[in-house]
Amino acid sequence: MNQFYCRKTVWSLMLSLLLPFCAMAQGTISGKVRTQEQEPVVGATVLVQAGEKRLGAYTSSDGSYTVNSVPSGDVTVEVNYVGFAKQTRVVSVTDGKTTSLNFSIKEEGLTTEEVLVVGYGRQLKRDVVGSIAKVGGDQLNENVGLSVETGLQGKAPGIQVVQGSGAAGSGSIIRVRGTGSISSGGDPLYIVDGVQITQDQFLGDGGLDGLFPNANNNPLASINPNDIESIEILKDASAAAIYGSRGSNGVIIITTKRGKKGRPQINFTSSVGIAQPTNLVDMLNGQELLQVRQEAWENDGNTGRAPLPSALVGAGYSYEDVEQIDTDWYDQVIRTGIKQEHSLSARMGGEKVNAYAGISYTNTESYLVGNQFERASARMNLDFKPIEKLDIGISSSLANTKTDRVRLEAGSPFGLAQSYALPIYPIRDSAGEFFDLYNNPVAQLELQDWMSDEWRTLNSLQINFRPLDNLNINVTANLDYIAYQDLVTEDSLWTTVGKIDKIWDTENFNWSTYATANYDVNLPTDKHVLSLLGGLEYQNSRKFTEFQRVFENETIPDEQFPRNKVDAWRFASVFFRANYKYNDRFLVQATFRRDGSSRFGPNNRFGNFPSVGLGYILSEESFFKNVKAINFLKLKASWGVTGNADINWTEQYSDYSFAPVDFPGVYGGDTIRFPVKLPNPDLQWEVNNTYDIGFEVGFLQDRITSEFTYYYRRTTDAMIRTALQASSGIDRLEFWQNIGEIENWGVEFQISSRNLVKAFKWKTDFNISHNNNRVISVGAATPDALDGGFGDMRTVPGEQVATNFVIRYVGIDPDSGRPIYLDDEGNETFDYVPASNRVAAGAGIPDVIGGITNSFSYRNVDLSFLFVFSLGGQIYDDAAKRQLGVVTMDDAWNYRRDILDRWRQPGDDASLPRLTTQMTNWGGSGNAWQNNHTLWLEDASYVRLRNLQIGYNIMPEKWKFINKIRLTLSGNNLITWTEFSGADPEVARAVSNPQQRNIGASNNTFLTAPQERSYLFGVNVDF
Amino acid sequence: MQRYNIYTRMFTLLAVGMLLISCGDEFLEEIPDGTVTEEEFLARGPEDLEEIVLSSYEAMGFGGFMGGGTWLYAELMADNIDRRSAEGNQEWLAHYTRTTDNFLGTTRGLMADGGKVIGRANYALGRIDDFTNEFDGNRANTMRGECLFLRAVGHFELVRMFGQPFGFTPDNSHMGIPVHLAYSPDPVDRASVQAVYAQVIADLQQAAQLLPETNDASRVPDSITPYASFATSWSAKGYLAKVYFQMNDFQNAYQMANDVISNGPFTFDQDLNARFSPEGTPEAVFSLISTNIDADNSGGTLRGHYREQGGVAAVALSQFIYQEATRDTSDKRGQSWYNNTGEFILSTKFKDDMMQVPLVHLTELKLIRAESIAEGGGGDLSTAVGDLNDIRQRAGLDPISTTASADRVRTESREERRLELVGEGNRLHELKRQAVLNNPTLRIRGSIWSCNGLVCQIPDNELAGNPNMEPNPQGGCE
Repeated sequence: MNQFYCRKTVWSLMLSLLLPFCAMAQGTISGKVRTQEQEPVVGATVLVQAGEKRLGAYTSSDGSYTVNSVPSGDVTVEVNYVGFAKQTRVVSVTDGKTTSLNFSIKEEGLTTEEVLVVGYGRQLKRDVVGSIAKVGGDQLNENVGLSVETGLQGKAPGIQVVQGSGAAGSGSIIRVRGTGSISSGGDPLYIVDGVQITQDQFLGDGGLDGLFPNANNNPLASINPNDIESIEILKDASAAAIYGSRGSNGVIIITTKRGKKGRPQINFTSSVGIAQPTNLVDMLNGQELLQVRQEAWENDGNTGRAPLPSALVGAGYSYEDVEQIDTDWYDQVIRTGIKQEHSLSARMGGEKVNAYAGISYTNTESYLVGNQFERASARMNLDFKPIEKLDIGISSSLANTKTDRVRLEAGSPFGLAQSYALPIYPIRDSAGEFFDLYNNPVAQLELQDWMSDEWRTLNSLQINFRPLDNLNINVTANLDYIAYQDLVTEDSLWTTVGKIDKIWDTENFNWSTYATANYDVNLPTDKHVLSLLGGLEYQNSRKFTEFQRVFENETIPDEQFPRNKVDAWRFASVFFRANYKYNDRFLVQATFRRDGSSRFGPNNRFGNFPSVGLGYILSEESFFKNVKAINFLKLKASWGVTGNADINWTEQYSDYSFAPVDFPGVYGGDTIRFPVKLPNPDLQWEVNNTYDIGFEVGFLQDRITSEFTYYYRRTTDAMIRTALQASSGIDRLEFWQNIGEIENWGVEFQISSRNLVKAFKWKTDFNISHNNNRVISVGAATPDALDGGFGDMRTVPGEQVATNFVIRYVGIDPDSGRPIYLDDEGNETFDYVPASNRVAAGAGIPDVIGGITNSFSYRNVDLSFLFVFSLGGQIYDDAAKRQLGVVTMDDAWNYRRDILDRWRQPGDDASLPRLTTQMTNWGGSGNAWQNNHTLWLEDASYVRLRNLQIGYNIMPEKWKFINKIRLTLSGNNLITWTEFSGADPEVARAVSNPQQRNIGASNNTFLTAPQERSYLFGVNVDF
Repeated sequence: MQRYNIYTRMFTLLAVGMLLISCGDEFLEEIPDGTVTEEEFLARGPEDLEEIVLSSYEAMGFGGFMGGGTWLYAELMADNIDRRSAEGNQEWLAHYTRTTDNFLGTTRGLMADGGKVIGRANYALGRIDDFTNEFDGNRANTMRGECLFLRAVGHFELVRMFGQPFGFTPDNSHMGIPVHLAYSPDPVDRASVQAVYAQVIADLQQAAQLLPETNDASRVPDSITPYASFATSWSAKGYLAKVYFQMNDFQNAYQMANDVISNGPFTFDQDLNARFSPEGTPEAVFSLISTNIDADNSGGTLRGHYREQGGVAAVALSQFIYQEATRDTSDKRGQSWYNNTGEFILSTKFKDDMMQVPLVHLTELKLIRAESIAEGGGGDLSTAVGDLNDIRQRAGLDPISTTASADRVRTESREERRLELVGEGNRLHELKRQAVLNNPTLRIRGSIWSCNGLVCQIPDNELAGNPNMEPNPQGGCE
């Protein structure tokens, strides 16, 4: 401790030497900063501005501060504290005296000056008529290596965040107010500092031969969460219609930190931790598997020993040899992952220049062996004011992300460990060679290496010019550039033709520019406030891919495939917004946007998107002043039209295939050509009409704030990928049409309450939303045309977008142990006939989602925990049909231990039918994969302790240059309550197109790696 | 005033911008590389249409269709295949156990590849009229004939796989397949088997009239002997013989087979192993071609199914057929088309990397003619006996008596068919034909010939495109 003080003294001395010393007339200011409840505020910034000179201090653990060497005279003192309104006072300082100055600061709340970022601008939250949720950067769930959007889970109503699997770097699926799309993309629009960023989940997925499924690209992976100031989610049309044809699935605006006037603030954050799987399904050991196989074999009337899988027979293993083997494949594919994240940032500012700079490094291993995500990022946000009427802003980031990938799900090491890699298989045979090479997880991990490397830079240059006090002209230019590479190296043992490097390069250029003019109209009286915004925007994006195969074997020539333009689109838009306020209580906002896009067919190239929003701040009325308990009440309603333009760019064009341009096609020595698909010049955006009504309320001077919203969202012209009959001979068996209709309606509720505000503080934030999703029409498209890619997930009219269209299983025949199904008319049958007996039997979208955060603090210690919940959805356990299904002698799988609860003799009350080697004994085809029915459909409801964090704050009182040290211990996904028997009820699977992402990606699991549980220790130092 | 000016300028700017993006929209186009209009696609007229017709031939040779799939799936459902071959592949097992459902890659490929033969032929057929004056000589009619021929073969092979056989119901009102007569995305419902066969016959008859007697020389590279690689009038007649025979219409079957055998330029090949060989056979009346130019190979999938590798093959033959083929030890087919490894019976019939793949050949036509005569379809029994003896003598067997009875000829013909066409996907359809004719209790590997599972279920890629498509009933093949 002595040493500690000693060092501090030395530091202080050095610092004081560095500071310009002034022996002129000086005084001291000291005092206390308290909350309105008279609680001391610890760590608030106190800034003294005396002429050119600026001085600062922080409040200590009793809320007191002292600023020495203040030049005498009138000075300005400003107090800042996160979550509280800034307070400024002017005080007179006398030479040699101490001036006492106490502050009572007020928490920032609903009715105060909180500002929301909206499309192309900012608005006072008080005046906003749209439905916008804001999550501050400091409110995001903290975790290492998970990207920004996961931090939103459970934090705001109406936003469903389904986290990706336990694989490192995987992205989430976000749906704002339900799913309004079927075949086209249903993701919200992402805006980062005004830039409509590239959000291509399928970036880099182009033709990764044999490696699919892999994690879809995560468009937010390169963002350092520590750089984020706030995230705003625009939910209703009044807020989102300014984004026109891209606003209907919601808009997520991410705003990064910028420099602030005042003393430089430097922050260093470091976290380290470990990751483990939340849960694993329990698989049979070798002995149990042999017994299960034997029982199935004998049940089918066979005698003698059940045959061994051909892999064992082919390698010469005897039954006795096999009995000695018991490989735990989980041990080979799972580990404890080590995670770490370090970031350093600085904010500073003055009259002319404000700057924020942040750098970070993240390295996180998942619990999957061979899987790691690494990110290095740098951001610089600069604001420059060369002259009074001009502001120039630069936002620039550069990030490199490297993902050491493993395959996921089917054919992955983790998937094989629960399927084809049997506990009766050795890892290596007696000669030391890998046993059953391509189904051997260890072989795959050792012989196939897969690395993704992405460089991304996001840049924006803003010029703000104010020729008049009430006119602001803004010109912005943006560039989002991505260079992405997948490198797969396959060992000669794997390829049999020598080592191969497969290299896929993807490059994406996305640039945009917009100009806006914001004009505050001067009106004769202050009762009327009118503000107008107009703007133009143009955006262009292009994606190119290139592929090469490099053979180590010199006798095989390397293959270089040409660079292809695989995606390209343009938008040109004009937009307006008018905000009118009367008497500080009546609010009107009208917006209009006209969008043209290359994605729309020539017959429908331009669309119009209007909106109107109304607000009434009732609490401003004189008759309301008597209602003491309620300090703020705003009613609001809105209507608007938004669109969705996330359509594949090629759909409007015809396609013809020529040899040798498209393929080396020859028949009988002559080249061939054929038509692939017909043109469709009518394609257009999807149309959403959204109606919103709600209120915002504040009680007891905002100790309790709450919001309630009801919305109805009707999608028309929804894009439907209709199927064409295979027998038509058209090569591309799909034809896209704007023929779907979908409705979403729901309610959202949120409440924040500061329950205890004295020394012991307790705050609760709770939000809950219910969304009702229904498909009204899909034209003549059949359920199988609208498939979700997995199991029997389909879109069926009258049901949810994500519906299990599947045969109903009702139980086990007590006499024979055979499964009993229902046919389409509801009659019991032993026959499994998917062609005619499938019905809509389960809904994938939860009824209710939400989260509750409780935060406690007492002096230097704080504790917070977040529960998230998702209730009422169903999940289809697609792997269970093999892991609990037919016991195939060859094409063999391992089974879950649950299979032991099977029917064995008449009268058994078992959960699974009699074991058999033949799917025909389950009434189906000889194909053991065709075993989809409601036996594998389960309730996906869960409540999860998403995050628990304990923090300890140290305020070194004499160690001047350190303001605060914060130590945290946190755990993520600590406990999950669910009835689901599989690994994890929360899944966001890798898919190959947007339709699968809408229908099948988050309610269906297939050997999917469950989410991780992590434990983290963090240090956060404010200098 | 100044404010007013800025106001005006702002408004003007926005108005101009709005106007700009409302008028011309070329600046908003992003056209994928290589996109062409139909006009450009067909810019060379007849020459381009020729390439499209070739793509229909090519589709005929796709592995999912007549390049292998059709043959294998039919064989799996009949009695020529070793069950163990199916155990390692869940989809093959579905065919073997006669339990196909709508989610099979095999039947998807069958429908889609068969569909492409039909669709591409329809596409060309629908556009020949646009270029009538640009064709040389009679080439326009030849092309029409080729398209009709290809379309007919496509429909015929598909209806045999996805519908119960001709004669399953007295009026053949049972469900067949959709009949596509144009290249169009419009849904087409399933036609009755009667209607499908009527269309197939009409197309083949018209093709026989439109097509010339020879139709390849100019299009086949010099290195390849042009054995009927492009449809001729004989190809159409040969296929008609197959169609009529499948219908048990023996008079027409006899006439067509007899016409091709008597008047066509084909010679009976004494080489037992030439039928599926790189060189091809002069017996071929219509054959898929393999030139090995740019991997042009119609027999690759077929070979992949049967070829031996280290004592195993993807498809091994059943003991049942092997014993039948080797019962008479002097039968050269038994000796040269089988490899008994002790563990498996492997086929050596389809062993070459590059094979010509005849879909109609003289041997089959002789079998059709012989049996049609025996069934009273016309002709002399001596002709039938001669046909059978040609085949028997080539196989090293003794000839049958020239005075053999019709019954004997029928029996011998069926036996020879069984042995000659092994692996060629004929067995299933032949057994069903016999059952329809006069053996209603016939069982195919234990199951009654008419059970649901002996017809492939319509795959989802077909059902999904038309809400009115009816699936086949399933199950019932105990």
